Amino acid sequence: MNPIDEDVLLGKQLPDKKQLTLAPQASPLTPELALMDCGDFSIFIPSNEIISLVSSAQLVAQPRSSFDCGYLEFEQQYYAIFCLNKALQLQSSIAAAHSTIVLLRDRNILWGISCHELIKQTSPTLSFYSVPPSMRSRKQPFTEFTIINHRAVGLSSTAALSALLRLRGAKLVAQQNLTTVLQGAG
Amino acid sequence: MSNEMKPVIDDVTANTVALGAWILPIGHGASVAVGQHELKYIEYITDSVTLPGLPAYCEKGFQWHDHFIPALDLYSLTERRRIPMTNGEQIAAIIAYENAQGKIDFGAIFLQGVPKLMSVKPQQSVPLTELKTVWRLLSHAAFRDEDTLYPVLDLRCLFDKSPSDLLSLH
Repeated sequence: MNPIDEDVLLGKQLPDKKQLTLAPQASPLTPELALMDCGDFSIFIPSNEIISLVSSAQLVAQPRSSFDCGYLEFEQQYYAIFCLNKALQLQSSIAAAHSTIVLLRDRNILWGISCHELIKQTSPTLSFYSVPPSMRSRKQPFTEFTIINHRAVGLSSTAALSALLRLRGAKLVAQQNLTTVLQGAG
Repeated sequence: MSNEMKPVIDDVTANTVALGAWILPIGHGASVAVGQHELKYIEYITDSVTLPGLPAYCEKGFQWHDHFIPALDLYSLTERRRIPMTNGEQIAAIIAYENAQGKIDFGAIFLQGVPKLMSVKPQQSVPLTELKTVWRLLSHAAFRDEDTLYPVLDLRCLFDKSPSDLLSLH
């Protein structure tokens, strides 16, 4: 038998609401951020990590695996292009609503991610919440988020997105090797 | 609208102390229990937000005063089916629990009806083994009222674990 004791049913004698610890931590923004609206989810990335935006119609090569949507050439560099769904899984084709590709650089690795639109963040300050324990996933490319227009927006970065892509099985190739790899693939 | 839950039952007899438990309807006739003082508020939620990369049972939360409250759909967790929304709003029980660091945190449980406060006597206690397996792992006590078994939720287990840790218990 498991007797019901007072700790179980009475619970803790909780303090008044004013004494409770606040969950969110407000933090001022320092870098300029861009809001990447991917339809099913949204993230912020630092604007200075974005190389350029191109139309998703500019893909020049077919996918090399089920993890990417193809490649495109921009200023004589090749970028592998990825698309993520709500479950943060890699898609083998760009979502129909994703008309924009954001080209990013993570050290010497160039790649791009498709989205619905990219919006420059103009609000001078935003307050971010830490992701609560029951909503944490190692797949999420952020640990903090804010809420804008009734939608959660994760505070992410190119490095965090690269980590997610690798976790999902994507092969991110350093730029100096990529041209050779693509030529070899025919 | 915010209704602070007030205890309405205080049944003390000479030999038996009855404890209060809130009965929370979570969907399709299923109900769970939390301690009387663990349930703090009932809210009608119209503006929940979703985080990506999560199982359906824990992907939503909402802003409440200065807090972000993670909200669990226990019916989805245990039955793998979502609790339906009515007119775009959901009822949520806002609970408080002590986290692993000893601090008080808030969480919410989506409901399919209004909670009911019940007086529970010690002799109504039943072993956890009488519960379905899924509830054994999420509860720290159980009791019977007439023909119904109620798991008493282990709120720290539910809200202080990541989804992968919680689902690995199953």
